[in-house]
Amino acid sequence: MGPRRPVDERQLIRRAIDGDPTAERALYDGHVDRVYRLAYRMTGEDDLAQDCTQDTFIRAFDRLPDFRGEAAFSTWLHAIATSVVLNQLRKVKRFRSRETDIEVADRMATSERRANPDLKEKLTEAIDSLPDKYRMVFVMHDVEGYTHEEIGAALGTKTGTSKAQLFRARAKLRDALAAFAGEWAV
Amino acid sequence: MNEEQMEQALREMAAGYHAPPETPREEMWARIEVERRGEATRRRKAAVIHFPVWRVAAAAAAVLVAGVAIGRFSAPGGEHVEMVVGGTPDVELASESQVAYRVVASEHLSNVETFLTVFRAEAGTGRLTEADYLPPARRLLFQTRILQDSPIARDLALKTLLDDVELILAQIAQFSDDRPGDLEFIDQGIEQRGVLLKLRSAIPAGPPQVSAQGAL
Repeated sequence: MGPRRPVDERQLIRRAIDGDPTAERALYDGHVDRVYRLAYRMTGEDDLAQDCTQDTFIRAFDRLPDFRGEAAFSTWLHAIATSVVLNQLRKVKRFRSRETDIEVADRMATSERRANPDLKEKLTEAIDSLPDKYRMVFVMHDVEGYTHEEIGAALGTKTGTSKAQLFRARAKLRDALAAFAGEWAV
Repeated sequence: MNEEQMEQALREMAAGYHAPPETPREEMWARIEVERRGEATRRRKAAVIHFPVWRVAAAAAAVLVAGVAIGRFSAPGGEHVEMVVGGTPDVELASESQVAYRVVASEHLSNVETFLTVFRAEAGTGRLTEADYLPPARRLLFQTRILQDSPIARDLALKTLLDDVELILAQIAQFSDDRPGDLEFIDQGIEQRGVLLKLRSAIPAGPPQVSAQGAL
């Protein structure tokens, strides 16, 4: 997430603020993959991931004049992206829990009773069940390879908090998997 | 398996967690461009929807719905108030009923945005049944019409957005599992009208979640 082309990017940002659409497109091209990947990992759905990504860039371009350049553009952009994704997940969960009817609840119960899911599937379920902020830290660090400094900057927390949350997320995953596979027991 | 090996195995397996497809960058860019061009045009042509909703407790929204309804039925002679285009927002906001209306409208648009997002994500999977989407669609449609009919509705941009929302919700409210082809029609309607992007632009951001350089 670090600034690989700091000079070029600063120029692009200035041009984008001045209303140059090619500069906006260049900024988009430089960062869209990481934003979309993160959104997809967190939402697990293409439509939601696309919505989050679009919303992130629309907000970023609208607020570009507020970007003071004290941190890398990507850090600032990821602060917007993580907020958009977490907000979207909150809204979707609130909606789904409100609208879940008996039939859906039955379906979920049946799904949970499904026999012998493989270990990978069990891990996916365990990650899904993590609180969103822990899941965000786990996905960013262990899945997408962000550093704790990058995660802390994006989430507005200290590096130590990111490390602690990752530690707790892994512990929760180990616990969840321990019951499934004996050799994974802590 | 020791701790280090376990961590390594966990990371390797986690790499497959919600593995993303190739980034649909052109598709997303096209929508971003449409939205940004549309927003610029709206700013030139009409007063921007700018809800001061974050200053008002969300709990007040439910109470204010009653206020809108009361305003609707207590307007002189039930006449519709003429819409003001390019008016002065400060003067409009001085009216308590206008503030109330905007708070309620904002809360409602947020609910519509969430509903449409989930509907689009899940309808195509076949996991949704009529019982899942019909009651909320009808409820939201009813609330949309209440807002459309309010005599204190003065904002042309908001009026246009409510018209778009009403059309989409009416289609969903009439959608039946027996006619799956209609789903594509509804989806195209949402897409072509850019309803979700318009909704997101109209809904004010919530309280800041992070504090990185005034990003939010």
